[in-house]
Amino acid sequence: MITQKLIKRRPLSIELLMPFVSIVLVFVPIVVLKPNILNYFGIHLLLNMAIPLVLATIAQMFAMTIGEIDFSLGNLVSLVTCIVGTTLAKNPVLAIALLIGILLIYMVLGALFYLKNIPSIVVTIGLSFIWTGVAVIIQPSPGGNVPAWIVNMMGYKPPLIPMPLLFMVGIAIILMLILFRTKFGVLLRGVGGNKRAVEQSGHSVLKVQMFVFLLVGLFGILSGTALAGITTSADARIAQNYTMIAVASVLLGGGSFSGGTVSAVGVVLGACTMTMVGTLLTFLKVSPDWQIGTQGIIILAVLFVNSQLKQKGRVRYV
Amino acid sequence: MNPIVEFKKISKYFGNSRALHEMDLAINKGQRLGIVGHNGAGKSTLVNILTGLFPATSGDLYIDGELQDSSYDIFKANKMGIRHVYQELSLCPNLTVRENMLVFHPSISGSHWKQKAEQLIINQLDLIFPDHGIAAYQIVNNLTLGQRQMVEIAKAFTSPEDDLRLIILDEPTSALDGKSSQQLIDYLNSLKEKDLSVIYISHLLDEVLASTDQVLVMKDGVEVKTVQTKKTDRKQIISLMGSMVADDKDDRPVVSEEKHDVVSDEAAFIIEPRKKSDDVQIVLRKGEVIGLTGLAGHGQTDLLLDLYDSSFSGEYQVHVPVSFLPGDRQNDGVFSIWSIIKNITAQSYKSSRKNGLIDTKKEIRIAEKWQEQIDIKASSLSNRIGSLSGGNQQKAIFARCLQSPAEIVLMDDPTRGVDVGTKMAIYDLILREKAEGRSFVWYTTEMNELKYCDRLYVFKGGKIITELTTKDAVEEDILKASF
Repeated sequence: MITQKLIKRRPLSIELLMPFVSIVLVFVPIVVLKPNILNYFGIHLLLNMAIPLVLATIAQMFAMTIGEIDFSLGNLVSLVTCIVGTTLAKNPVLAIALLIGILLIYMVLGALFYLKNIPSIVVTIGLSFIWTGVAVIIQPSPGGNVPAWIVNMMGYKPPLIPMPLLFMVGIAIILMLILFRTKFGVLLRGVGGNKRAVEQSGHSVLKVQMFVFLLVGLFGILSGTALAGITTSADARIAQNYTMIAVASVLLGGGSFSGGTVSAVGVVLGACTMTMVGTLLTFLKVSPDWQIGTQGIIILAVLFVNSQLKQKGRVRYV
Repeated sequence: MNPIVEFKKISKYFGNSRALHEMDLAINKGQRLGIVGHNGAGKSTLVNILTGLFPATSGDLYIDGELQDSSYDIFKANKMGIRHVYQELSLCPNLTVRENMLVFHPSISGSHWKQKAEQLIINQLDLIFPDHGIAAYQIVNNLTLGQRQMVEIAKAFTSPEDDLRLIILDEPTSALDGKSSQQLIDYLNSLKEKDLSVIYISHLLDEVLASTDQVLVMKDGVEVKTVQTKKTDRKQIISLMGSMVADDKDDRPVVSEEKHDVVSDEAAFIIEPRKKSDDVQIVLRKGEVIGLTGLAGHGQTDLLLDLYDSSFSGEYQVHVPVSFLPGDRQNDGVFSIWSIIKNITAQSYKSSRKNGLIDTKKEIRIAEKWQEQIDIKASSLSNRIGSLSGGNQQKAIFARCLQSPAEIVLMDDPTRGVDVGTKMAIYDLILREKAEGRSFVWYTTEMNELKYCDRLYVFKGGKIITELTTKDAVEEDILKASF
């Protein structure tokens, strides 16, 4: 065991480089434009909107780690804002039943993808229409009445450190523990790396996959709840672009479409970067007509640079 | 005492082709058995039946004297302490070494799994490969190929429940350097007292001789002979591998040699090396068939791909258009949702065009011509190619190559897994096309196809090690060169 200590670890700093560089590239111009953002309330406002996206990105990350994808995520998050913002106040039992139903559907899907070898991309695109359909039935036009405890939770202001910052650190630590310390985390990444090896060692990939999709549903629901708490409204279409932004955030944070690679800190930073790109454009007084397009171009540029660096083996992730 | 594993008249057929025929085999406690044989001798099939990857077509498999039924599979084999080190890696490349141990041993658990897994693998690595230089927290992807192979081997020998009884090593040293290979052999020799049985499969005969008690020589799915390692040597094993050709005595070349002596000037080469070197290099003249042989996977396919894609770089210059006939039909050959007609004409749109557009009638005519010539058995040529049997699919793809304007056809083991009838049809066609001036570069894993070639190139370790003329070459020469 003496040899173990002699073999050098690669310095950790390079491994986290890319997501950090990305967030600095977006954060620095924001501070330059609005220096007074660097206070308690500024940070709270800046990062609060990132919370639901971080949660959605974590959902997408679980799916992408095993080489699957959820193309209905944004629609699911929107549906959850409707359930939380409308049904929960009127009929709590029904609301809880709906949320549990969503979790069950995700578990069944996870099993189906494995047993029948159906591509998740096709099924979840179909599913996205169902989510939106149900959401429109519950809340035809934006409105609703989000329970006060959820709104208060999202507006919670602890002393000294802004709540969103605490949340980001906390969720990154929890995620790191799940991914790198638990057996489930190892199996999850193992399935993404070499499914056959995991299977031949006698593990049930079926169980892993079902649990993964349960987590996709769970984090989707958390994301929708957080979003409803911040916007205080139920809107069947509010989060439709979350699907793609979450995918981009996962990629930015070091994940890949082929599965296996994942980084806890990376996905959190990735989602924060994506949110701040929107804020930066507002500060730059880019008109809302041009914002979405510009945001798209920035995302493309960041991902392009990212993938180029990755191909050359310049960056590694934890 | 019962043997750990016993084969009784086990046979395995894949469709019509025989992989293993009425094999008898017994492996005792502590026995170290080497298995050798040329491509397609049945080594891998034997191992795969033993490890439960697929069941035998007929015959009985006994483990500890108990007859195994159809429920015998990989997990059961694993439970009974039978382990297999695969040729291809069975590690998760994105995980660390110790995480791979956690995946491999479901019994490791608890909060200290990292330490447990680390101790298990590092102790074993230290035991087999001292100074391996591997740390348990390293990601497998970042290890060298040799180190990965070390982890793979050491992993198979770890056993938290101490239930390990038979280890099957299949070309374990392919990625190891000389020193590590020797360390492995030394380790295997030290196992004798531990009652652990080993099956050692390798084409490196010296390694097999150094690390086993008996050597089983196989050919064409049957046992040629099992010899005591102490009482044998390289020469005897090679001659055993080449024996039993009695069923195929017309081994003489089918081709005549004399006409090439007339056109031996260099201008006639249609494939030639860009730069002359000391290594053996291939040349090809118009109307020739050259064979690439040696053990499977020693660089033959790479050469074919190099020739196919040689317009700007590569070792060889190819002066005429080429076409490629893949061996892996399903992945590289067929357009599975296209019709048979479309599959045949896919490389020759020039000949099926009219006024710049593809003419369906012309296409049908072309396909019908080939159907007649090589007897593609299809109820209708407009059916999907997937509706054909494997052999007929291969005929259709072969027709595609021959219909194309290519003057050289590169063939990557084209008769892999096809029936005898199709093989004969393909041989006939090759000879006919050759007479009309087409040339072929033919990689084959079947010895008796070599007689259709003018010259043979034997590959070993990614290089051509010798050139033989078919007239003089006998199987033993090729075996001698490849092992």
